[in-house]
Amino acid sequence: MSESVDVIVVGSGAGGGPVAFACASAGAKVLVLERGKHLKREDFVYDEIGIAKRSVFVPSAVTDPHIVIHQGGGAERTDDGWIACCVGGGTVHMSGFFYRFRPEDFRLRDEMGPVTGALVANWPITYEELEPFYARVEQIIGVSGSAQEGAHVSPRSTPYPLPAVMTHPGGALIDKGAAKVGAFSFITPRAVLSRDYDGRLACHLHPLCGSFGCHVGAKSSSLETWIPKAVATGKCELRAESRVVSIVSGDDGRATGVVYRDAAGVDHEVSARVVVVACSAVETARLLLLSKGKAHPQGLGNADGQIGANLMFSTLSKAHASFDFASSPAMREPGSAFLGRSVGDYYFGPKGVRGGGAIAKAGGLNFLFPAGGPVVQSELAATSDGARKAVWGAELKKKLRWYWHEQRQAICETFGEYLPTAGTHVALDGSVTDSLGLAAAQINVARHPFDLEVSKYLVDKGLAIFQAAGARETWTSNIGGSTWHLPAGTARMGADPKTSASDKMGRLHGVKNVFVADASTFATSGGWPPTLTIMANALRIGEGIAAAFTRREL
Amino acid sequence: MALDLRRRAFLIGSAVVGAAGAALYVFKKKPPATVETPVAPPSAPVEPGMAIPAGQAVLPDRYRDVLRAMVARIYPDGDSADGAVAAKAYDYIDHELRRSNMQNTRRLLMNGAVTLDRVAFGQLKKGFVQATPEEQDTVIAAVQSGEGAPKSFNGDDFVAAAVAMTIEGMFCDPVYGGNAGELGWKSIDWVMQSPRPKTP
Repeated sequence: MSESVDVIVVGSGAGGGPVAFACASAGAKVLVLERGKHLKREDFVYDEIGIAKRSVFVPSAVTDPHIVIHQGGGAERTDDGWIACCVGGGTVHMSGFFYRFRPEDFRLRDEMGPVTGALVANWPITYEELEPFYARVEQIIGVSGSAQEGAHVSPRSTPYPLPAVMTHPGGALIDKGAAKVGAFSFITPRAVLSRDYDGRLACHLHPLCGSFGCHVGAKSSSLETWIPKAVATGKCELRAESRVVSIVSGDDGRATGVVYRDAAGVDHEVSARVVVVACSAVETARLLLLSKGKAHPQGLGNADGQIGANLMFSTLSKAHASFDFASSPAMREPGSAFLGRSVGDYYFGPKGVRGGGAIAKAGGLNFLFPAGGPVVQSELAATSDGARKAVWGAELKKKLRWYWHEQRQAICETFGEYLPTAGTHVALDGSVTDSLGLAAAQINVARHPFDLEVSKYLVDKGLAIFQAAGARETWTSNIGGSTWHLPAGTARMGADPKTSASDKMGRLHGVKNVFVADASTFATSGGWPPTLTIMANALRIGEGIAAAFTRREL
Repeated sequence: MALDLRRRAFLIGSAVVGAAGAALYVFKKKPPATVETPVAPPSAPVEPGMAIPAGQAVLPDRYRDVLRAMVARIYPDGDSADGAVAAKAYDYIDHELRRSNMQNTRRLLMNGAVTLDRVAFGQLKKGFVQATPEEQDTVIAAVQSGEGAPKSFNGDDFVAAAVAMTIEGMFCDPVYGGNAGELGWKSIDWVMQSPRPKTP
């Protein structure tokens, strides 16, 4: 190896970005290797076909598939489980709903008690330990939120650095509906700038946001924040289109560096004192499993078979509503495309919903307008409630007239706890390979029955709020579904190597200088989208690595 | 439905990446995984395909014409020329089907076009293209409900795929070849803000 650095960070998204920033800020020589391209603001155009229909951000299931096997079903070649492969990862085109997990999420095993058939665990850290990192992430990247959320969310040591992003007048209907059913709706916090901040422009309320990159840089992505801040230290180099194929380890079990393949197909080996893996939970597990060595015949850090275990997503379901303009004129109003309301009153359901524990963990509700533009939304209209056959002909045209001129639809996405089970895990597929000839990730799924119960519980709450808000029509879809782009848990943090893959600092058990810094480390899925928690935990892990350098432990 | 069409639904709609894929969820028709109903997802093969260069036919002429006629009925003209023909929706579809990862959709639409023609001959003693618009509607409805198709062919999936692609052709950025004169956008009062794509 001719090239040597202190820290190699594999991945540049919500996990890799903060680690690179923390280590480079502390003076370590950092190399960030990102398999995707380095897209810039000028690359982000409002191209619904290119962005929303061609999956330009994720690899093709043809060339770089994941294999999904549901319990009792066959194998499906898919791009499920991928998130964006570009500098900044999924944060580049996120909606940026930036919630904190609740304190109870970090001690869920204690709160729930034993749950038969589930591998529920406590985190090895508390909310109180993570809170300062939540606060710093919000400050560093720019998160917009409202103080009115008050006691309905997790305790905060600092206010949001930015006021809430402007929301649509229809949000008031959700407020009214929530109040009618005894709940409280608050403005959804977002990693989107409501005002100019840190040299970046404020959000301009483009109607196409979630799923699209932001051409003014108002989205507080890793692309706009962590990575340029890390590079600005002068200690961090970013290499895009550089795909790590293996973490190399010596006979003593320590990692010595990585091998990556550049865009020209040339392999390079770089040595490092520390390797940090942050490729999103499916690909992180895959890379570790592929990185076999003399001391790691089952994959790096996999002596106890914990790499890839405990895979989780979020349990996603949707309540839909149609608001007639005639009876709900606020919905006709122009303005922000951001409905922007959340309800956390059902984060913990009544006892018995989850069963077996002191509390019944459920999750959060996020109210939003359907994303996408005329293509995606017209397809939504063409299929209505998802149960009917696609409409066509005069009926289609009538449906579209109704959809676009007579009403506005809203969605309540529910983020329920997703219990880890022994049957839900990532492995290497024995027969399918990717474009480099490496074994594809095999995603095995065996859902726990509580997930479905929670999904039904939450989506019913969403329906009730919509109905109380004056919706003319409501329906549901995707009950018990999964957020395939939000995997977690495959290198779970914990004290016991028999039930976890990494320690509380994200260091792999049995491998002194390899860390994991994405949602792979999560012990529970949480009841909100996890991106803020990924960043906060990654910042914590990155500063832990930097401190270990200072103590000459690495 | 062909996997490549279903998977074009982008990163499925939810909080982190937005909900742009939400509408396509329904087209995916992938039931939620629950313990009550163990899911056996379709094992649709995805094979690396080849892109079809401009100037080379995507489908045989006969079935291209069948598909073009079907698209015209999916989004027909009203009192004025405001339908798929005027918006050149099929031009978009022809362009889109040339992409290498659309192999399965090409196969689905080809099989569907053959089925439309076969049912038309069975019912009307003439080809789909030669049928009147009203007769064509009857044939499409029959195929959608499964008539005249082998077990391996799902007429509902075929029609859903054709509807999805017609909608794309009606409402895409005109740079992709459809939505001529922004006809589709105008029909729903949609003003696409910049920056817009310069190339498909």
